[in-house]
Amino acid sequence: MTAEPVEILLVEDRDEDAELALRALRERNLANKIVRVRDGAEALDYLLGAPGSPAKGKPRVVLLDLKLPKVDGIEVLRRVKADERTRTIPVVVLTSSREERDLVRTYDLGVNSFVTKPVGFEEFAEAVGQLGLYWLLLNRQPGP
Amino acid sequence: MPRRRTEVPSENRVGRLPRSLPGQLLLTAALYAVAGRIALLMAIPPGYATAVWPAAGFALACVLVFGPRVWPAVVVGSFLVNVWTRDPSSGAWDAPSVVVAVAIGCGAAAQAALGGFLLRRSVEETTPFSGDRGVLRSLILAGPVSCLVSSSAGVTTLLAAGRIGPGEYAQNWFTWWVGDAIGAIVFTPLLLLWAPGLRRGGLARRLTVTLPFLVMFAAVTGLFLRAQGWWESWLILACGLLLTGLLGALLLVLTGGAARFEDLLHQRTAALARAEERARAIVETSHEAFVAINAEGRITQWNRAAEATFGWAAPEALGRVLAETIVPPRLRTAHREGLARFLATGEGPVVGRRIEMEGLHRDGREFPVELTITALRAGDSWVFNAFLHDISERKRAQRAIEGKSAELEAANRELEAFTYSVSHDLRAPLRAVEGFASILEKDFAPRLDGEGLRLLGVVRKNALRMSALIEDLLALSRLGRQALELVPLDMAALAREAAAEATAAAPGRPIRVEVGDLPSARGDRSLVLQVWQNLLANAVKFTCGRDPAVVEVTGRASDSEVVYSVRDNGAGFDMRYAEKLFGVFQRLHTQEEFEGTGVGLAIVQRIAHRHGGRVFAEGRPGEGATVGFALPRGGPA
Repeated sequence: MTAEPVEILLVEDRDEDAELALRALRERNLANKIVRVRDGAEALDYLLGAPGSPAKGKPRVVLLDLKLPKVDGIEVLRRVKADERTRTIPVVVLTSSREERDLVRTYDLGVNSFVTKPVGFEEFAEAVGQLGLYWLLLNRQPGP
Repeated sequence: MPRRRTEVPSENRVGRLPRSLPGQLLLTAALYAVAGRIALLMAIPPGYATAVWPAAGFALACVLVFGPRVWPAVVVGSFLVNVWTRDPSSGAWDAPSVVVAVAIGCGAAAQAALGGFLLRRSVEETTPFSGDRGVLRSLILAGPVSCLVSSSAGVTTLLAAGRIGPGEYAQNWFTWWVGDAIGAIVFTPLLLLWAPGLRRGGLARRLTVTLPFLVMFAAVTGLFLRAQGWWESWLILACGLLLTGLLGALLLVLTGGAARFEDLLHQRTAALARAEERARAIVETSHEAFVAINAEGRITQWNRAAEATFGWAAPEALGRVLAETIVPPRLRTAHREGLARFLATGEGPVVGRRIEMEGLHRDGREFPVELTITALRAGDSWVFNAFLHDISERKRAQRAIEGKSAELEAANRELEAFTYSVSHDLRAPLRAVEGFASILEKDFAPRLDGEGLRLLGVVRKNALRMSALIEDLLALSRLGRQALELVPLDMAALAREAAAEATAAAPGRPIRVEVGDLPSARGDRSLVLQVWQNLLANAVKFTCGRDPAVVEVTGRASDSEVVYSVRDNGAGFDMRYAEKLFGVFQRLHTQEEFEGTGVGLAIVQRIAHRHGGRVFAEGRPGEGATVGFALPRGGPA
């Protein structure tokens, strides 16, 4: 047996938000196969591989914050959706912003879901849990 | 009487006729008296009447020239003739004699007035005999026709006064009539022809008509003086003068055409001169600078506004090359080439259009001008007219506006960036505060006492409240930027939808919402729905504790707007603070009484204003409130 496949890639630069997200996922028993990266560059390295090294894994769903250091979430989304290998991975955009232009841009790029992170933790946990579960179920790959 | 003739340019006048009525009266009376006196010297005895009576022609001519108002002068003239020629031996100068003389005078005056009237009515010429039209008709009306009056009046008077017997009536009447008719036929045209100030053809025409007239007249008069006996005299006079009249008529017709043409030419020339004068005055006094150049590019016209605009006085500017006068040096080549191209091809990019370019002032200053150039054919060459004006002021204003717009745009962009960052960055820490407080509450509850849990609750509540404030503020700022998408709206449906949401948010409360018939309106659906949501949520919120809470939604349409109101029986407010109601973060109640961010009605107002509408509110503490909005009929202008 190799390591269990990563099921969720969480791309989030703020530790607090990451912790809350992880906790929300954990409350729904989804947290055992999560990898968290801190910026867009790391996310791309993980999904597409850095120069000289192959991709590190193929998660079943990506939870992507939009406002990220180095490479922003929109760019990550664009590259992921443009690459044959990762095109089919569902991407759920998590953001504080309700700004319309973000929404329109991400839909243009083929985002699968768009979640505005609510301030209330309960709502947040609910939204993240629901979406994570939804996409995991929908994108269930045949077992090894 | 038409006075058009007096407008004829003075160089065509030979002399002047009196313009005042007394002068005209005096002249008429004197002419009549003298003509009558001379004629009576030729009277053929034994009758009172004479075979030629030029005075009748003089009277008619005076009436035609001065107007019918000179008729009293004819009466006076006739009276004077009678006084002047009176034979002292014929009896006392008594009252009956005066009456007879006045009656004869009145007959002569009536005849002249009638003749004038008939001629004026039937001849289209301004003055009879001035052209070739209707000469014969004029002669007949002036002579045989109108002269029926004086002869009838005069001879009847004589008969009534006993001066002649009934047997003599016919012969006297006939002599009188013939004398007057010939006098009128011969002398009316002659007088009109020579009357000073009335131009009817040049001297050539006058002489062509007059000399044969006078020769004939002299011949007839000579023959008459040698004539033997009554019949011979009468025959010579009558036939001779009739021939003279016909000769005159012929000559008048022959020369009249040319005279009329000349007359018309003078009239047209004068009219043209006046029109040109007017056009020149318009151009000269125009506030637009007017500049004309010829095909060589030299200035041919330069009005006062051009003087002021470019600093060159007209005498200096005229004849100068335009390009070297008002075109900045760097544009001169283009100007010359454009002119040359137009002359070669008849086409040019600037001709006939409104264009803006730089002009050059005499002092070397360049300034923007707006101009239109028109090209006119002048013989086988061209003239170019340009109207132009200095638009420095407009350009300055335009630049100022552009500057302001740019500033405004920058401010807007900044605001948008600010909003974006508020939306992202302010909420993140808030989320952490609320999230971790929530975790603390959940995971550490057993280790916290009641007070500890209460304090955590306060932290969480305030984090959520701040989040709500941020949300509302962002919503408010979005309203200003979002484009309106105007559609016809079923306002009652929107109100009911919002009411359902509002009551659902307060489950278990006794609330009655009555939505009446609402006029439809044009507006942005999602924004107007927000208005209803805010108004109904407020109504539900402020009726908390009422049993039942009653909310009435009504609407009405006026000529210019549709007005909607939401009335409740809730807490109401003090009208003194009504203005604060619609301000951002302005609240009239404490957070403990009613929760809220104080942004809801600000959103309502912003949306109403963006639709070109307005908001209003009325209330009394404890007695409920009516809050509403009005939209312009047919949507925002």
